[in-house]
Amino acid sequence: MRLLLGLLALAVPFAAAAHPLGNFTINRYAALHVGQRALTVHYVVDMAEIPAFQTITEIDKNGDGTIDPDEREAYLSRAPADLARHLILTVDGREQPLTAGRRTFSLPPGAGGLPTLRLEVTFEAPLPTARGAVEFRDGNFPGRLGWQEIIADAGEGIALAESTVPRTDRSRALRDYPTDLLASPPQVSEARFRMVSATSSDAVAEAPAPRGVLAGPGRFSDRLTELIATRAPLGPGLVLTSLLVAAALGALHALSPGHGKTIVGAYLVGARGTARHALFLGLVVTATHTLGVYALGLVTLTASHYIVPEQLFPWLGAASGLLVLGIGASLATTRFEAARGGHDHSHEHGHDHGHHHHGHGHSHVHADAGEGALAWRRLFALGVSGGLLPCPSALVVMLGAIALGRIAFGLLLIVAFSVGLAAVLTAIGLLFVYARRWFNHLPADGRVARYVPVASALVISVAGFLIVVQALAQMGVLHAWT
Amino acid sequence: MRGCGPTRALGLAALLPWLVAAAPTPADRAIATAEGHVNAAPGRPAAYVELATAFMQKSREASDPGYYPRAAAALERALTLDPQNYEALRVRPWVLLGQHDFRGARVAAEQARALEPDDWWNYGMLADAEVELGDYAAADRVVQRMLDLRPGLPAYTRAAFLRTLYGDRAGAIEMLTLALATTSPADPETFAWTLVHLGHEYFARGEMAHAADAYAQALDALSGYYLALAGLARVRAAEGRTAEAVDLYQRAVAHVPAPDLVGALGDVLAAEGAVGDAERQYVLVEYIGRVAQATGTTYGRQLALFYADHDRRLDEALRLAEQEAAARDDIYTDDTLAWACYKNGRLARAKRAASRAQRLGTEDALLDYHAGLIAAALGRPRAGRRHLRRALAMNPHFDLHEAPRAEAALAALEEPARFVRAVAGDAP
Repeated sequence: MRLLLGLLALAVPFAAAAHPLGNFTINRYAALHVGQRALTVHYVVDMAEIPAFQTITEIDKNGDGTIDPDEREAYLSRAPADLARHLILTVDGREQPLTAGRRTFSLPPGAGGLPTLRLEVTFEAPLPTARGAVEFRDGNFPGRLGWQEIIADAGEGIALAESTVPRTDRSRALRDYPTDLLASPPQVSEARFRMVSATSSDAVAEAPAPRGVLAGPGRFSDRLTELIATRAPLGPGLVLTSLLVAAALGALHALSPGHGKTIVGAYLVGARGTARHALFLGLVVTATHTLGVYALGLVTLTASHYIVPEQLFPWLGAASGLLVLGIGASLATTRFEAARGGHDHSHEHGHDHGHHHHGHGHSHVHADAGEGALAWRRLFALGVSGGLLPCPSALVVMLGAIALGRIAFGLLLIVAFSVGLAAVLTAIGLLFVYARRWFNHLPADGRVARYVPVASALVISVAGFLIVVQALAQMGVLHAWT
Repeated sequence: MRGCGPTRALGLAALLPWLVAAAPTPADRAIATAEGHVNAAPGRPAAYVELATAFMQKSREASDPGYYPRAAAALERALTLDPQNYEALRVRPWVLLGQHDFRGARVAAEQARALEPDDWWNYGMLADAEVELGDYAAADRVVQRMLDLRPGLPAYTRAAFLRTLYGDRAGAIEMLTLALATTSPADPETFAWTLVHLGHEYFARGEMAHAADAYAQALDALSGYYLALAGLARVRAAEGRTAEAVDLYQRAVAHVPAPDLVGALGDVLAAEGAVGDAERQYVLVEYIGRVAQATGTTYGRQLALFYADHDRRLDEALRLAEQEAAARDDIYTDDTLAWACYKNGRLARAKRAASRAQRLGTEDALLDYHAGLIAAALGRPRAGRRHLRRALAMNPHFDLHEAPRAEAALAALEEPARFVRAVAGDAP
């Protein structure tokens, strides 16, 4: 209990301090307002005590310790241009110059009465028409810690669609930071929205309320939802390109590390798989991944009040890892026995290990005796494990589609995504199949050739094990250094 | 946007890079996940513990102490909901360590250990607290237990630190190398942090090329990592490549204006002859000190050393050193106290503190340099020479500002000795 009080006491001085993130932060704020003729940016910089001191020393050119009216004027005339250099505003992809208008500068007292620095500048960019896609990026003080907030709203007759930022702020323009310690400070440095007519059917008040994966701080998810976020009628060209892009994303996802490439390859080498096997595998992966995303999407929608999808991923990862581990272990035992059995069978009469077999003949016997009946079932299980773990971005597309009422299109995109994923895995499988044929033509020593399948089964087991470990680490069952 | 299929297709193609480069950092993701859990179930203590852990992760990743109070508040909420929650009790010492409440952290860690004696984590927390409180024998036992329970990076890095303290830098390097082998590629911050400490070990031994190598690797792993920038800057300054050093220090300070780094930037500028620019950095350090006084941040030791090194605000140096000595009892706090006492003319107390600082036999040029000047001032030239020679032999460039002073002091001490030898007829 005493410790609890200690914790409380430690938290108290913080509450009194002005800045939410310590006294070397530079806090940035931009309020975008779309009017009929111009877009204005109300930009505020609030420097905590230490950077304020650094800036004050720069302003105080003659070093007399005070800011004379001349020094103040000089600073106010050059600072807005410095800030504008790193503020990028584009309308429909064209950069718009920002002209600085009203500006104010003050030194509000902070901790211990030491000055902080507050600079406010209103920038303006003319708008030929209040329509089009706007992007705004704040590149001032990169890497510097601080509260970073951007908001956007519009004047009469104009609405903002698909805005990535809210309409109202949390800090009253950096004057009043929320004292709720449990809310983490915003780190927003860019905004995107479309300017539309307030009466148009295009006017979607705000971006769909983010939840679960969609709530991720990543612009990444926003970008992906753009795939289905368009409200314009879907032309055939657009649908086709979207499907192609989704397939490309799936292919790229398959290439990202740890996506079953090793497993597929090792299996097909060990099982003496054929092109048919590889294609079958691709089909199973597509089906499982598509169904997996649909299922997880539904689960997420119904359960989003109780569980965050990020928590679900490690479990799926663990399940898929265990499946792979099981396949690997069972393959290893059957193959090992087959390898030994084959040996005994052909050398009943002696113990001479110097003899060797022809790779071809032996491998056929081996595959038939050891795995034949099980091969397709195992291949199916492997395909399932490859597709079981849905790609989070695919899930985002799916949920985004539901949120925007474009369900059918979203479901179609998932299929395209899965096809791309499966295409790459299949291609890799085929690559292994043909590489192995070449390998089989080598005059290999029989013993080595016999144990290659065993070794590849072990590779599968190890990969499965690693997937399980990774999933457990994500769940926090295994702890990383903290 | 209507009827512009090709444009949109191009826009979609531009999405590809977004998939490859994940935008938010691991800690940001952890915070977002934890906040989701808190919102979904505001009555579950586990969600607040998760949030506290994520805030601690963020504070370390961003080197921002501003997140400690958030972590403390989240833990407090968890413990209000369930005062016996083990997960919360186990994280509490971590937060207290961050806030430099070392005694509180030790009590909290002991409490968590009593509940779960086989949880390796508790031994890490306990070890950190014992090291700061100067109970090295206890720290030794605790780290050994930790190594037995879970031989991994957390135990290896702590073992490395203890070996350094006991004067075994080669052993420390061995441990850190072992630790590096166990880092996960998913955690570049830990990897870079370990490399920075490896760099420090090499620097202390005067192995500049190895040190630079380690810092550069850390920067590769985590670009713009301010600790690695500062480490590399120190190497470059020691090599006389001052322009590079200035640039590196400036980049480090732009990220985190810690007083020791700002002071080091001033030292390089001074070495370059830019006295005015150096003075501006020194004034900034003093200002950081005033802000720290007003807000109670944890820079006491760095500030005390800076004041003592630069003969500024010496009374404040002593006050800070005494304040630190009240909160912890490790050898570096003793050393700071010794140095501040020496600069304030309190030689007897300086000597006691200096010998306490060397009680483990730590091989650190700074400790010997301080002890050497204190001995000389007390009229013990032989001891003074011995300490100064040892300091300069370990690393002739141990500190840009202080190493030339060590050389000058040694030369002055050797003059009369040479004279005596010359008179005795055995001069070389």
